[in-house]
Amino acid sequence: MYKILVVDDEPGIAKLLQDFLVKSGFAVTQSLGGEEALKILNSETKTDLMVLDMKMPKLTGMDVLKEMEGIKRKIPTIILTGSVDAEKYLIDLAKFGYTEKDILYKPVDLFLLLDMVKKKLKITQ
Amino acid sequence: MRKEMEKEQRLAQLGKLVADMAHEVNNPLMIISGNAQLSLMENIQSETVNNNIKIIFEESKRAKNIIQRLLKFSRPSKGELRVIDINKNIDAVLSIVEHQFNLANIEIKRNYADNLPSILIDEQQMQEVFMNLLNNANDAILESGVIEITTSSEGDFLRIDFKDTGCGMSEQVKKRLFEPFFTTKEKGTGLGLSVCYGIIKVHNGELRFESELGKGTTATILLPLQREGGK
Repeated sequence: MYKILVVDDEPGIAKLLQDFLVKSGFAVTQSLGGEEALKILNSETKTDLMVLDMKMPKLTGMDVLKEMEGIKRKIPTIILTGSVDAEKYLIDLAKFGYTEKDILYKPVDLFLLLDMVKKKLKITQ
Repeated sequence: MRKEMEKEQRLAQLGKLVADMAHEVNNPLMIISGNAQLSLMENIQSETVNNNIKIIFEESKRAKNIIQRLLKFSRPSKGELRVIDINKNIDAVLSIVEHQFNLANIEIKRNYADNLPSILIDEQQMQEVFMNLLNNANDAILESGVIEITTSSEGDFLRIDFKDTGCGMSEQVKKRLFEPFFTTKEKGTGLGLSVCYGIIKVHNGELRFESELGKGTTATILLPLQREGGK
């Protein structure tokens, strides 16, 4: 079973995404901040994909991507952001190989998220 | 001139407020719409409950739409810029509305300049502006009338005028035209001209109105022409 890490500082959104992805057949861990997310990513637990919010207090989504780049670990990631912020992130995201195609704008349609998850994990069904 | 600057500043402040508000509303809106979607995945026995959840989901989509439009006013993006023939771009919009306007006894007059320089704009966003201005002109004409569209070049600018023989606007209405949610229509959202303002602004252009009560309104768009080698 694929393991997904959902990172969002808004508990309601983290829980929503976890519930939905679990219902869609994935094993999901949620994290309410960048620090906790890094701990999970650096642990022994396998993570196949990350759904990552950009705007978080302390360690932001971008910080998490930078840290991962620093230790040369690349995990397929879906970026969550409000459309207001998207443009300012695009240049930095490009440095880590992410484009607009990897971004989902809040409020997210859950089935669009599911499509993107399946594409990233190369699930054909 | 000072009044214009004050107006610009007021709209800029309003834009910031709107953008901040939109950002804050996005998260709770996602929780509402997402939980509605999640609930609809359950096998709900009660048709009433099922329908109510569908309403929650549909209405949150509507709220999302309003927020997207507000964001176009407050922080519009230039989007996909292409070199466009403005006359063709207006015609593309007219092809959608002209028949319907004719049925309502509204005649469309094209007064296009030949050999206008092409212009670098976001085609879709500009069509949204034209559609809004045409619909406003249509709404302003109560029985029958004319909408005359004129294109021309004026110095470093390309100029487009939408002149209607509708009911015109009072000074009071003119002052508040670009304010989000300000509307004189029974069923309007009051976002159309705010969005137009944002789109024209991000193209470094100008949108202005001249109007006389009982005689009609002219909406004028000025768009800067790109010089060869320029940005």
